[in-house]
Amino acid sequence: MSLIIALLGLVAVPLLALGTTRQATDLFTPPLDATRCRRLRGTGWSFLLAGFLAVLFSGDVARTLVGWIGQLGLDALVTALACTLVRTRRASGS
Amino acid sequence: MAAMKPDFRAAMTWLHDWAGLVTGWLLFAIVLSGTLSVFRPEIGAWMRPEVLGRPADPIVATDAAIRWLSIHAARSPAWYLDVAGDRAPYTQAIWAEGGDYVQRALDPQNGSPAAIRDTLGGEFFYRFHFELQLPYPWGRLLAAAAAMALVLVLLTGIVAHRRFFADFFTFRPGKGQRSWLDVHNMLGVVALPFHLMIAFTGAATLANLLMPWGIAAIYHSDMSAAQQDLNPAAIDRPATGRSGPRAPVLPMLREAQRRFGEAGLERVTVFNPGDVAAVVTMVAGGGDGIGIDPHTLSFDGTTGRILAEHVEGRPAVGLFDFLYGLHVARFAPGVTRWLYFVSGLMLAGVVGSGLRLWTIKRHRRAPGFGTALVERLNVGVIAGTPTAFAALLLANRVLPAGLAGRSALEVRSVFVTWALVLAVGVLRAPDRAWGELLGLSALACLGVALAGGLPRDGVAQGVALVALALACGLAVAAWRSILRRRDP
Repeated sequence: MSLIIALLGLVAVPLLALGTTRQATDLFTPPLDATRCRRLRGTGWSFLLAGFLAVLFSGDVARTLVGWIGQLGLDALVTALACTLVRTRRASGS
Repeated sequence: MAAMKPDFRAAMTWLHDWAGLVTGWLLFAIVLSGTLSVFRPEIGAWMRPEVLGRPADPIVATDAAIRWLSIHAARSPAWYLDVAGDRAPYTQAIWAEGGDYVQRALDPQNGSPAAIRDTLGGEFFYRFHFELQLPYPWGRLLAAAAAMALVLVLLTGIVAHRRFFADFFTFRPGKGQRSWLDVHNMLGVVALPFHLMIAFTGAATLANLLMPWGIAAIYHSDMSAAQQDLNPAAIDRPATGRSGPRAPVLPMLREAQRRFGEAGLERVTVFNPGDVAAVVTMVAGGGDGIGIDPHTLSFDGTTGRILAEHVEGRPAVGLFDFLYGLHVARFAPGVTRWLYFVSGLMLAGVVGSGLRLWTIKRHRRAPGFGTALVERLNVGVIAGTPTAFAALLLANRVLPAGLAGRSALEVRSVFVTWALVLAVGVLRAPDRAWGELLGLSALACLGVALAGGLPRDGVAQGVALVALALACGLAVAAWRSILRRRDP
C-alpha cells in the first residue's frame, strides 16, 4: 500500500508542475495550450486525490499522511530542480 | 474593498520582512539544530565510537545501569534514564553529584560510564534547539517567541509572496535578487505543510511559557499539582531520610515490558533511590500512534509493587501529546525521519535565503550602516552556524577520550568557533567573507566526514555521507561566491 501511495504522489507532482502556465511555456516548443495544461493539472489533482484516499484507507492514517506530505515536498523539490535543468539546457541551446 | 488589498499585502510584507529579520538569525540556529536533532540518537552513537554498532538489550542495559547507579550515585535524589535501544546502544543517564547534574552514557553490559567517552552527543543539538544553552527559562522563552514568530512569518509570507503558486516549480539561477527570491519561494512552498506543522507544533509545545496564565489560574503556580494531573501515574513522594530495602529492578522491567507490549520501554526514573519512599517510574515508547507518553507505570522502589498505572486517554492531553509527538518525530520510521531532516534543511534554506534577500533589497533601496551590519551578521550566522555545529563533532574526535570535563570542552568549542566566525564575518568585507566562510564550513563538514575513519556500520556511513553531501553543497556555494566577487 505504501508503495502505491508513494507512486501516486510521484506521478501527481510532475503532472501538476507541467500543467502550470510558466512550465508549459518555458519547457515546451510550441508552448502547451490552455486545454492541455488544464488536462495535465486535472490528471495531477486526480492522482493526488487518489493518493489521499489511499492514505485514508491505509492501516495507519496519521503516520502515512505525515510521511506522504514529506514525500510530496521532496518530489516537488526534485521536480523544480529538473524543470530548472531543462530550462537552463534549452536556454544554452545544448 | 479593492483598495484595501494592496494595503493589506503591503502590511503583511512589512511584517514578514521585519519579523523575519529580527528573529532570522535565532531561527536559523534553532532550525538547524532541530534538524540535526531528528538523528539525535544516531549522532550520539557516532560520538561514542566505543559502543557504536554494539547490540544492546534495553532490559539488561537498564538493569545494569541501575545496579551501577545504586553503588556510585546512591545519594542522588533521582536517576533519569533514557533506555538503550537499536538507535542508541547505551543507557543515557542523568544524576546529581556534588550539587550539579551529571549526564553520561552507561555501558549496556556493565552499566559503567568508564569505557565511554564523556560527551553530550546529539543531546547538545536537541537541548540547544529549545534551550539555546541559556539558563531556564530564558532559552525556552526565546525559543517559544521564535516559534511564534516563525508561524507569523510563514503566514504573512503566504500573503507577501503572492506569486509563489504561479512560480511554484521555478528557479532561475544567475539572476541576482530574482534567483534568491526563487530559492526562498521554492524551498518555502515545496515543504510548506511541513514548515507550518513544525512551526505550529513548536509554538504549541512551548506555549505555556508564553501564556502561563491558564496554569497559574487553575493551579496557582503549583507546577507539581499540574504535573500530577497531566500524568496521574507519576508518584510524587518526598524522601523520608530513612533508608529502605531496594527491590530488584529486573522483575519491574519485565512487568513493564509485558504491559507496554510493542511500544517498548523508553524512559525509567528512580526517585529517592535507597529511601523507603523510593519510586520507580517507567514510560512506554510511542507505540502505534504519533503522540508520546501514552502509558506510564510506577512501582514502589522497596517492594516492587505497582503503585499506579496510567494509559492516556483524555482528548485534550492526547491532542497535546499528538502535537508534541508530531514535532519531535519519535514515532517516525527511518524514511519519515529522513523526510523530516530534508524538510528541516529546506526550512533553514528558507530562513537563510530570506535573510540574504533582505540585504539585497535594502542595498538597492536604503544602503547604510544598518544594512551593512545585517549583511555582515548574515555571513557570520549563515556560514558560521554549520561550522560551529561541525566543531562539536570534530572536537569529539580530536579531544582525548579520557580527558576530564571533555563534554564541556566540546560544547565550548562550538561557541568559541561561532564567536570567531561571527567576528570574521563582521570584520571582513561581505563579498570576501561569504566565499571564505562558506569554504570553511565546507572544510569543517569534510572534516566530519573523514573524522570517523572508514565507516563500517550504518550510523557511521550515514554521518559520513550527510557530512560529505553538506560539504559538497557548501563548497559549491563558496565557489559561486568567489566567482561572483571576481566577475560581479
